[in-house]
Amino acid sequence: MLLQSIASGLLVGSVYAIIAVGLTLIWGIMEVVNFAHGSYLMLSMYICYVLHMLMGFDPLLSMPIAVVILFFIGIGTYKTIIFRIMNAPMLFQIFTTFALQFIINYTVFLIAKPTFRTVKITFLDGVVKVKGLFLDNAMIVSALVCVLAFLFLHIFLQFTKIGKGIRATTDNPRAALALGIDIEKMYAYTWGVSLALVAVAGAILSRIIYTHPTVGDKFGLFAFVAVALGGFGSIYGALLGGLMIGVVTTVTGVYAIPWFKLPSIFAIFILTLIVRPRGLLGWK
Amino acid sequence: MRQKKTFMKRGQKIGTVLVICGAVFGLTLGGPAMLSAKEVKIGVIWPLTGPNAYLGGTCKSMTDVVLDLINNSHDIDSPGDMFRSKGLPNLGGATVKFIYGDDEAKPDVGRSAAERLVTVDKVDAMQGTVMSGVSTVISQVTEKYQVPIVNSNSTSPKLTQRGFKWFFRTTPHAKTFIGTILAFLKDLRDKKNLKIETIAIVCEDTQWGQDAADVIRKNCPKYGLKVVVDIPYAQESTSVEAEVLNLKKTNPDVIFMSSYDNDAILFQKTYKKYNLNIPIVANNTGHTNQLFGDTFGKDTHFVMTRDMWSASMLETIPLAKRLDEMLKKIGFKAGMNETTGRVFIGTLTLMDAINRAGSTDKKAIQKALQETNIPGSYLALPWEGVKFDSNGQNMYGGAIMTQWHDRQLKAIWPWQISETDVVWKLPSW
Amino acid sequence: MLMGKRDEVNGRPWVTWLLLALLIFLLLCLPLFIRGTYYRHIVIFTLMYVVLAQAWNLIGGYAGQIALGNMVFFAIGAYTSTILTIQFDLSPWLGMWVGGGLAVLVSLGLGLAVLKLEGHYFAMSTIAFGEILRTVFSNWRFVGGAQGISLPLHSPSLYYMQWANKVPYYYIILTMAVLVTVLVFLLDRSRFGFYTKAIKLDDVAARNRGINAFKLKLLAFALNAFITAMVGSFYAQYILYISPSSVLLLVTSILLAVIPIVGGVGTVLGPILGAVFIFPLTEFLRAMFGGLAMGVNYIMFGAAAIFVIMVEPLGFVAMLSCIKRWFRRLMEEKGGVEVEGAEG
Repeated sequence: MLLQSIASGLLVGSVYAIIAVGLTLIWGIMEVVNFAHGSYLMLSMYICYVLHMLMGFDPLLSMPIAVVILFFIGIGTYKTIIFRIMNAPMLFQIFTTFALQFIINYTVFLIAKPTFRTVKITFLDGVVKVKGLFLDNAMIVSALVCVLAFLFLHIFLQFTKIGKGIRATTDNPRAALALGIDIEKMYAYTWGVSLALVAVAGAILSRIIYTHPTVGDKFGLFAFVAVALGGFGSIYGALLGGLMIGVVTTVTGVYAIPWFKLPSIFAIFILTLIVRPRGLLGWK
Repeated sequence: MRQKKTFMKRGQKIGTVLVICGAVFGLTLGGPAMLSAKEVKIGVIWPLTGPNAYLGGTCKSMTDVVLDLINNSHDIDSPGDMFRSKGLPNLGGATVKFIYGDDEAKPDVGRSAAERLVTVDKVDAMQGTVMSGVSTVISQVTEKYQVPIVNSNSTSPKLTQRGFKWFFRTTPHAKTFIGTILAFLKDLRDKKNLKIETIAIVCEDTQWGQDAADVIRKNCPKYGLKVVVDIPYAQESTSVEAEVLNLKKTNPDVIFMSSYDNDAILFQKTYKKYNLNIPIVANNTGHTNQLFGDTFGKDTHFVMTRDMWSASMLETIPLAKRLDEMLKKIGFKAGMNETTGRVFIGTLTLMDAINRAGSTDKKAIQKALQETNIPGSYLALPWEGVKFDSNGQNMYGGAIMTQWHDRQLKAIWPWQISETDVVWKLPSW
Repeated sequence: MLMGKRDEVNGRPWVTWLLLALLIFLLLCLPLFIRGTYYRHIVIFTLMYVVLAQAWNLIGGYAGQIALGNMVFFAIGAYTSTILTIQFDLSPWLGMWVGGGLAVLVSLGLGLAVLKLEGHYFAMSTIAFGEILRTVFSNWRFVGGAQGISLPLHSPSLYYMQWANKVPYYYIILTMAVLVTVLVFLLDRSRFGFYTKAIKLDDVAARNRGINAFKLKLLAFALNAFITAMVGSFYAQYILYISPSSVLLLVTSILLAVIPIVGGVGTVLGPILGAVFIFPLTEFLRAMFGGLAMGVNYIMFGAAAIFVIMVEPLGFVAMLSCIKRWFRRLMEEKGGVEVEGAEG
């Protein structure tokens, strides 16, 4: 049972990790705190739902579409709102992105009504039993996608022109500017990539969980904890943070007092910060 | 600091903001528009936004339907024949107007809404709401201002234990409901010789779930059941792996659940994932919604629930069928269910009382409510009727047990009304 | 940013004092003008937010640490005085202070652990702490669990701080608001204000001069906790029902930060302006749009908030000083009057 708990926890954690990575990207590269992150997750889920309803697409199929849509939404958000708060104190960033969350959530609320919607899929549904452990197919997919996403991100940042541009901008904006890199564009791309990652998570989640205007909020909160736990700005930290949340909450829920499931991760979070004030792998 | 990009001149900016401020304050203090006389104003509060927005929307759909029934002419029987005439007959055909308030499932907001409806909109009576915590606070307001309020959906027993004189509840409360469930389990055990000794309690952690958990925990010993694990879970959880694995570990004979729609879906998916084959007895709401049936089809896996509604009632209760049609016509696709059924009974009771009072005088309405005696034939659910005890609690209104068979809920208990046999030993998924 | 209410106007200090006296007088007479219960409720809640915003201002504005879990202290105040009243028949007037003291202890404990953390991490820890407490309170039967506690009715009664009328509540919260504002003003002008501003301008230099930033932050945090808890007790006596879903919500904690931001952090006037603008706005939006089209009021609120901050990131206070300057320039141009003291 312990092994099962850990396994399940890791699988659940991989979903949190994908969401967290997008968040830490924005923070690490742009130093912007994005409270609206969960709302974009929700948007991705709705996109997959709509495509499923209209064309019968399995969300895994819709994933690339959602990724592209959210990529552009990310760029759009940057160009209209975020660029104004780039150098504003954290206060205003929190404030603005928080208000953004409100706006996105409730606009969707207005349009889609608060009905819970689910995507019914049969492809790759069910579980696979490995050595007596139940492993959810959908979640295995999510874990695989998570690994792939990390790989893509790594390749992207290391080898592509935009990726290198983003890294240069992070390290030294002035130098990058001097080198002729359009840092505004880099920032916009960063937002795009971050939301693209969230889109991936959304596609996966829409197969597992119901779709609803405020479904993203709790995930957003966990993403924040994951990011802070791993260290703002560290991609591997976000990965670690996400997985930890998954494992700790699952194991605690099974072996300790059930309702302590959520407080446990928050408690560990605070304790970790006391010992390592920059998060587990933080470098800022 | 980087150069701030300005998009408006300073002066313009300030001017705009000032204008907005002025507008805000002007309108806030201005108050709502005047309503015409010869109108009965009812304040209705539902959780239209917030975590229970789905329930709020459901309730509003039903109250909108009743409004139509009262204000327009429909060929449907009702106490005092209200539906066939336009408006309320005993008030000279006065139209009824519902002024809606949103409580966002928060007591503060509910209180604000109630105060506004009572002191600014000056409503004649009220109905609302769903969450017991919010209903507690709203009814404090109505009690203070002596405004009659009918509650059709809150189940905390404490609501009718406060000695309030202006609060009337048409729905049975948690003790009645849990009693039904426990009686069912005992009956099953005795009559069908099934091993039902250990029970797990899995309830969501806001007021409704906790209430249910407390009541059942207290009463289990009386029915010979032992609670082996108590798992409260956060409403709107992102995953319930831990809870389900815990259940697998403990392996009780039966699982009792109190869940809203989203959690019910999440749990069911997770049960299937881990191949959990323990009979589930639910406390309604999430588990009685057609959404649950549509989402899972065969995978509803014979979940049982305390219920007040089953699809067969569309045939056995003509009024229910009419209401179902009307709901679907205004865009509420799920149609009749237990929530809308209870809302209907509450609104009907209130309308009937105002009609009998023959005026919008609050004391007259209160007295009429106290004297309420609506026979079951006028109701959309199979209750004996509506009659309030000295605490404002409806003495009638019972529950039945239903079970999911594929996409349909079929009545299984009491034995007299059962449509099919109880499936207790669950097949594999 | 060093502007306060008692700025010199045209070099004649007594004008400021006169204006202030007039304001206080008007506030005292307010119940005579505003007689509708609903509107009085709005005024009371607005004043509550003024006090809460001023408290937050101490830690978030002056000390510069964004705290997003203030409802924890609010809840401690509310629950402590309520439980003491129910169990020991202790008057809330006394229970308030116990709640305040308890909140200070908690804040010191938490503060020692997390105040050393950098901004974002600190903010996240306060959120985490708030969520822990919310879940704990939801499952802890002693404090009523998720069902909360309904205060037993005693009204009207001075001992139990309950009245049927809203007017006594108004005066209590008005007094709190005035006291807190005076406190913040004094702190602003004192070494506390001086040091915190110094730290904000140049952290390292300040520390080299021996300013102990950590101790200051701790003090600010403790004061914030104390004041917030007192308001919590007041709230319990006013609403007569407390539960985790009404006093421990994350959204409310964040709102407590939003208000001073919109008004202008680190100033004396800011939180007041913020509260006066935001709370009536939310109520108005709810009244107008809440029941009509679901959630529209939230969209408008979000849009309005973003608009305000885009227009003037430094909040209403900065807007006011803009207006003052513009007005002064106007006077100069019109009458050729020599105007002194135009601050930059």
